[in-house]
Amino acid sequence: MHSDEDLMAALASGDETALAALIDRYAAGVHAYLLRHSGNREDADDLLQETWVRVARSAKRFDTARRFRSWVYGIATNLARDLFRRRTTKERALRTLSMTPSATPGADSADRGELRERIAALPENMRAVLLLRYYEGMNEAEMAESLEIPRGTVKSRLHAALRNLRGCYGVSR
Amino acid sequence: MNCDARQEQLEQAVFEGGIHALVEDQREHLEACADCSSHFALLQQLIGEALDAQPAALSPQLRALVHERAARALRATRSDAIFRWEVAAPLAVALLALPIAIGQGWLWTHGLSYLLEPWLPASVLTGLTIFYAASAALTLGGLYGSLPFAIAYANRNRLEAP
Repeated sequence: MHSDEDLMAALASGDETALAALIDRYAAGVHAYLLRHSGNREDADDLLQETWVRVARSAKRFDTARRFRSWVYGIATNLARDLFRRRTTKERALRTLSMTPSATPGADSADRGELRERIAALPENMRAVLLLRYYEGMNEAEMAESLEIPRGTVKSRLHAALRNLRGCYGVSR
Repeated sequence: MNCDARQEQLEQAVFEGGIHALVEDQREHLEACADCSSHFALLQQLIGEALDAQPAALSPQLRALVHERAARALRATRSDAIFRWEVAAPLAVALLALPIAIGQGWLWTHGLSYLLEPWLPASVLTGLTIFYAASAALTLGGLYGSLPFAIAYANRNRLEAP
């Protein structure tokens, strides 16, 4: 099984099978991330396509010392951020309420729904670190690489995001 | 240890292991401190939510669309030779207009200098001429400099179009 970086090297030389392999490996995860980030399926679909167009265009410039996973999530985050900035406040308020449904409906599904809404309402930069950490399971180094910010900033944003969630979300044990 | 540091430890332990030992170690504090206990409850809820929300497979249509657009973009990056020729040709045609633009600028500055000479001192006229020439040079430079980018952009859109 080829590593991501091997596949990127093949992609840089124009190998479309490498592109297909990378899409199979990462597209579903990136799509789920974009869905949570944008809160809208149509936007997530568009952003996913644009993310992979950027991957294909930038393949020759990809630094193989970097982790592909961080890089692709970084592209997706930047595209989502650009879209978010273009949106008016009203549009954002309408769109952020529709998040992915929980896979396991249960007694706490209402709490989960509220949690998802609160995450959607977080400032964009806090939401990005929270989603990358908890949903994509990235560590601080990967998040810093992905978002192109220092590790200290990742840490403070994550902490602020949790504080923010806790501040407006009455969690009980 | 203050509450901020404890909460940070809890966050680290969630991912790096040892959460159970840490919770056991800090049980008394977690039971006594509402701030830390609500922080821990939030972490538990986030983890539960994240574990449940596994990414669904992409629909075949979306997967095909993603692959098609990315493959087209990949093919477009390989047409560098055509790209250079397509930039050079329009640029050469556009350069034909350059002597006309320069001639027109020369006529304007000389005409205005001739008309304003009786009223304005020579130093002011020289300053105005320099200012005009610099503005015209910047405009022309910007225009010709942006042409390759505009052509490249249009060219890429054409190559990536369905």
